[in-house]
Formats: sequence, structure tokens, C-alpha cells
Amino acid sequence: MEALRDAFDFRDFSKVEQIILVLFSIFLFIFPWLGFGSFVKTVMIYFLLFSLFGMGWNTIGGYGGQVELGKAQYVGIGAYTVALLMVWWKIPFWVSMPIGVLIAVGYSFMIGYPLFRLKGHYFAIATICTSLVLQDLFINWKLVGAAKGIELPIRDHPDFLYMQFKSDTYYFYFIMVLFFAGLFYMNWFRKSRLGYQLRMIKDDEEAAESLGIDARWCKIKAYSIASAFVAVGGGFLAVFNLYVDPYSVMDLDLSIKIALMAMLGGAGSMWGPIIGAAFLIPLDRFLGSWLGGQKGLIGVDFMIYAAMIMVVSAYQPRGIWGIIEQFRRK
Amino acid sequence: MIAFASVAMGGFGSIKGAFFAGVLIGMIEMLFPVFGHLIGWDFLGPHFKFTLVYFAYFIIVILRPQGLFGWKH
Repeated sequence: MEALRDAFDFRDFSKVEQIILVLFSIFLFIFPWLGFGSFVKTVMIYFLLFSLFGMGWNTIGGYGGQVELGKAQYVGIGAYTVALLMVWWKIPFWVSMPIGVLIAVGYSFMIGYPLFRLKGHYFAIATICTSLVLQDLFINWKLVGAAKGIELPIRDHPDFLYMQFKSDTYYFYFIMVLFFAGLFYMNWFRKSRLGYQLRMIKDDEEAAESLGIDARWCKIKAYSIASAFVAVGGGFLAVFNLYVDPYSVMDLDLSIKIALMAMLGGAGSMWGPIIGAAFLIPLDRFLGSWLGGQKGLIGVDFMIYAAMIMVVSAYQPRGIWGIIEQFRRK
Repeated sequence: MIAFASVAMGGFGSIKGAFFAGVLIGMIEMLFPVFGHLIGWDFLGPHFKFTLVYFAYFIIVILRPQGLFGWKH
């Protein structure tokens, strides 16, 4: 009960933030009825999906201060579990997604236990290594479709159990529900015991340990929470794209994108990952569709994209949320 | 990525470490697939050569968290 009250309690934010949050929620609810096309809807779905990923990354990378660049392996585990169970045994999405999350959490404990002996750069590279090893295994594993990937069977009629719909609107509402669940969870998490312990570990690990916090165990717990978030998003990605292959769901690009969005938005703050995703996903998509197809301008969209990221991170290393706080304090 | 892994394997800040880790990574990458081909094991084949490197990095770093020739701060 206490936890629920904490999760829905936004009173410690400023008035402006509360008003923006309410307006944003209303905007999300009515968004599918505003008459935008399929492209804008897809961009919006990806924005919500990546802010979910970013919120997951924020638990370990933001509050815990451990730069973690291997989140794509959990996207892959979630996506592959949903896809394979659907292809092999026709298990509905609503059963296979929790199984995928359980597998991801179990795997994260297995990986996290040895991994959290490491610190700093060693840890970051080790997470990249585990994710690339998993990708290599899936690329060469004939049973799960190898490099070709697997296609999900398409049903004749729209089916709620298998999450196949005619319109993007349904997918939008589903990912919106997940997004709000993640938002309320994060609101509880930052006020929970583990949240405070993680922030202490981020500031000074030795001081935290001398106060009786088991730093390694805290980090493992936060890591598995992050993996659960990401695996949910991965399961959604599988039913949304109806197609899973190691290059799209397990690539290093995806891990770096997840970490980059949370860091650019402002790691360790509640709104950071959401702002980061809101900034980068539309920028990426609209620049790609506007400049990517024009003759003689191929690659310019990536240059602008990278330049924007560099400008923001050079101006304020704490990201966009850091810039906002800087102006607010003046 | 391989270069980054080799520096970390040898230990950040250690030139000797980077050198020996680089040699070790080269050996793993080239010799293991040949060895696997000779004894007929598929999972040591050339398409897994990077996996072997990352696996070696993982094991070394778990056993020595500061890298081969690194030092504790």
C-alpha cells in the first residue's frame, strides 16, 4: 500500500513539472485521434518504447552510476522468447512476454554476479562483450533462424491474444500503458530503499560499504530491474515488427542508443530518459526521411544528428535536463 | 572494439599490458579456428573468432579485475 502511494505521489516535483506531466498525459491519450499518419504514429511508438528502455537503463546507469552498454542482449532475449514460443508452440504473447522477462532476469543475475566485480571502463567493456557474444551465438545458431532471423506467423483476424492488430493505434495504446507503468515504477523506485542505496553507491562506493550497504548485491538487483524493463520492450518490438533478427534486436548500436538517450536527456533524473528519447527519436526519424532520401545528401542526416548530440553534451555534460536545471536556478 | 578490449584486457595505463594483450588476442583469433578445424569442432570455427576473444577478455577480467598488467588505484 505504501509503495502504491509512493508511486502515484508526484507532489515533490515543482508545479510546472506537474502541469507539464498532466498535459503530456492528456496529449498521449488523445494522440491517435488527432489525425496523424502512420509515420508519425510509428515515431511516437518508438519514442515511448525507447523512453521505456531509457527508464530501465536509468536504474543502473543513472541512479547506480554504472555505465552499462549491453542492454541490447535483453532486448534480444525478450524479443526472441516471444517470437520463438509463438512460432514453435503457438503460445500467446501475454504468456510468453512474462516468460521472456523471467529468462532475462535470470540471465542478468547469472551475468551480473561475476560482472559486478569490475568497475568503470572494465565493466562497460565487459557488458559490451557479453552482448556481442550473445549476438554471435544467435547469428550462428541454426535452431533460432541464424542470421536470417524469424518471422512471426500472421493471423487471419486481428487477435488480442497474439497482439496482432490492423492499426497502429492499438500498439500505441499498449506501449502507452507500459510507459505509464514504467513511469509510476520509477517514481516509486527513486524513493525506495534501493534507490537511495544506489545513489549513495554512485557518490562514494567505499563510504556506502562502510555504512553496511552491500554494494555488489544492490547493483545486481538494479541491473536485473533494468533487464526486466528492457525485456518487456523487446517482447513488444517482436510483435510490433513481426520479425526478429540478431542484427536488429541485439546489435551494439541499439545498446549504445539506449545508453545515449538516457545520458543525453540526463542520467539519474526522473525525466531524463523521456526527454532524451523525445529529442533523439524524432530527430533521427525525420532527418532520415527528409535528408536520407535526397540525392547527394546521403549521410548528412547522420552528421546533423551527431552534431546535435555533441553540441548538447559539450554545453552541459549532465544532458538536456542539466541545461533546464541550470536555467531554472538563475 | 577489439582494440578497446585489448587495452582493457592488459589494464588501462599499461603499455606492456596492451602489447601482450594484443598479441594474445591475435593468437586467439587466428590459432583457435585453425585448431578447431584440425580436430573438427564446429564451435571453434572462424565465425566464432570474436566470441572467443570476448570470452577470453571476460575470463581474464573476472579473475583479475584490473587487467593483466594493471594496478589497483
